[in-house]
Amino acid sequence: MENELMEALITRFPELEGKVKISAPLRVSVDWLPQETFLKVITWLHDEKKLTHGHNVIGTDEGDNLGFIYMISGEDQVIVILRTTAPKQAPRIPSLSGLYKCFILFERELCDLFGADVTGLPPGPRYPLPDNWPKDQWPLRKEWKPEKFDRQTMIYQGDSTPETAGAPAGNPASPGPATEGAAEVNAKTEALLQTVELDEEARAAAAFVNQPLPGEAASDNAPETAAKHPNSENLITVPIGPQHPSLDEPSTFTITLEGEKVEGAVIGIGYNHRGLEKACESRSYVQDLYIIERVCGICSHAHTTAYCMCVEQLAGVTVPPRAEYIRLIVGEMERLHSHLLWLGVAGHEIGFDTLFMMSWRDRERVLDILTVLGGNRINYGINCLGGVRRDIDEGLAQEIHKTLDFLEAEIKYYLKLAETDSTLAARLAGVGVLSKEDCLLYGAAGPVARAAGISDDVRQIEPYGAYRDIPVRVITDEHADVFGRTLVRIKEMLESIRLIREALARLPEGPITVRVPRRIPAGEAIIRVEAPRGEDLHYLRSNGTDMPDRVRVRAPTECNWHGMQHMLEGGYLSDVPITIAAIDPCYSCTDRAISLRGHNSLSGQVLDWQQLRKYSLDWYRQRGIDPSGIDLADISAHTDGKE
Amino acid sequence: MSVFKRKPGRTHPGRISGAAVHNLFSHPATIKYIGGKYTLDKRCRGLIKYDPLLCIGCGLCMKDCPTGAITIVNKGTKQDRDMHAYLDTGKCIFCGQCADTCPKKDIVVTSESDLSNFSRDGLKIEL
Repeated sequence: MENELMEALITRFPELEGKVKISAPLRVSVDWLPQETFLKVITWLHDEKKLTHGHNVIGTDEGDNLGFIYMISGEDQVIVILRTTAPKQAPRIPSLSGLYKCFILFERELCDLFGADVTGLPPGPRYPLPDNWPKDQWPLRKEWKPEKFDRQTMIYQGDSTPETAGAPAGNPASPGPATEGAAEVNAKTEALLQTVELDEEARAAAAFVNQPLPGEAASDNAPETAAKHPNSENLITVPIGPQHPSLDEPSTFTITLEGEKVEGAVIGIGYNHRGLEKACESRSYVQDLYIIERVCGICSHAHTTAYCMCVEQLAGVTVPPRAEYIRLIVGEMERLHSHLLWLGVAGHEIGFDTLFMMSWRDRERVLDILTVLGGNRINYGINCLGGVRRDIDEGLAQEIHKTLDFLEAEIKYYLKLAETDSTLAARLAGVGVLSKEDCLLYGAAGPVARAAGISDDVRQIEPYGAYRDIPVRVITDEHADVFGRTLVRIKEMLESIRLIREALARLPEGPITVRVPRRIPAGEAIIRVEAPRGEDLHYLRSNGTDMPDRVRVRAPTECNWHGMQHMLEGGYLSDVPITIAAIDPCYSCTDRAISLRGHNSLSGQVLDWQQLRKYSLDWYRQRGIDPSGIDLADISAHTDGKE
Repeated sequence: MSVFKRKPGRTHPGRISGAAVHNLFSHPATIKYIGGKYTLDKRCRGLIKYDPLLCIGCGLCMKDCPTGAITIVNKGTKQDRDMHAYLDTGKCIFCGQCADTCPKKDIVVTSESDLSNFSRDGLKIEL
């Protein structure tokens, strides 16, 4: 498959001769291309070769240039890796969100973290940096040092280099003191954009060029929706979040309602951005393992497995079979834990709290096993570079079998419940529909895609580790709604139990770990792993030292967000929580930073603890409530003593 | 049709009385707050244990620690070593990487989890 695609590419574009290679099984890597050629190639691949699934867009720092790496795939699941560059002085690239709807979030990330000027990106909330973050600070560029940045004042103390002072990031209308070279490049890109054929949607998207790009508050878009609607006087805008009792993690949903019906939804995420990728670049491979583990609390094993596989591939190390089997067992245990947790949350969201109590009780049994397996309840830390850290002995295997027997009976009961209970069916069927075509368009992954009848499971497409020996039966469903997602997840748990039992029965003898060198040879690895929520894609590039050059984590939730707006619109307000919960969103996974976003009246301000106290006391006083008994000076003295 | 609908022959009064008798004689699931000691499973990761006599002072544990929680200091001379290990339990994430890295295996992970203290400085301990 890879060869055919490679030959087709070279036949169509003779200039690519020698630039295309098969970097790994199912990966066709194309070398750095000038933007003009790159756009021709990607448009041709999308239109003629039907590579319509966008996986990821990665920004890199290439010295004087910014690099952009695009990953796309089609029916035959070969990932084509295309690269292009733009000079740092004027990092202008056209937005491909017209071709690939799912690139919008990734391209916003390029704007925020690399200062890329993505032309034609539809307006929307800023992602992932906070609103009060200065617009000329791009943290993932190599010259940006976190220690020089003051989080309180939001001022960067470094010398004002031409790059940090003058590039027209996110604001093409006023390019600032750009150099002459930058103007030339701008003119070139302008001319280039006219030579490339974009489809209608892309052209429509390009019409937004002169509008201010990211950084617009989510609520700014709501009146726009309201104005377009025929009976706009009946529309009500309901802001949900960033902090809201029904949200588990911070995010904003600005929902426009007509009566009870959702007419429009604007989603703002990025509140949990922790800058993990920047942190990874200044730590060794061993230390990074623990950072990657903390990307997500639930799919921590999937993330470390992907990261370890990247490092092992680069180092040319083969993991012992026993370690691969143990990774499978822990991975499937994690899936059980994640799906049981989800089932509980889903039950809670629809007011079926009995289900919540029951499934979380069962989840405890899984967590008990994971605790003794890895040593911790959540961040098990069982993976290490070159294998696993702990073995499974006979006694532990017996414990696992016992738990699995208990869980199987429980999960079969849940399946019967889901299939027969009329309340569940009435509440979930037809809610949050994302059809097969829409799933492909928005690049949905995991149970969301499988519930729409797409057999999208990395364990089957590209078996890794012990999945090569133990094939997975992919569970699909035709409902394409929340009900379908529930059935898929419950059936997947039964499949996980089968996999764990088989792996325990066939557990090979031998060592559990091999040595991995501290310095990893230069190169790059792209690994995908099936996390409980879908495809988890890791990109790792090393430069021959003991620290990685670039780490990019594309968590499964990140590609499921794109279809969310579509799922919400046309539904009812009461179905909003369950629709959001049905993709099993993990905000931390997606955002990977802790920042305070200013309230409207305080926008652009960061308050310290005492100011915040003072603000809240004043707020009560203004409303005639006397917060007597609380002496501000006393509180200050107390907090001072504490700090 | 609901699965909750009670069918003839589905009730088990024996099961309920069995559970009641079981609960009557089983140990309580909670522990006494003051005085009761909660012990984790032996396989859980907790505080690390350090043996100064085995330590060769290679400093690999300090290098590999993801949070920089552990510090090894030699207070003696090159010939006559006097090793001390300091751990900031406020920083430690109990990953056990130091124990894995140590070439002499003189750092051992225990399941000790009683670490709370009234001040931040009290969290910095000598092992």
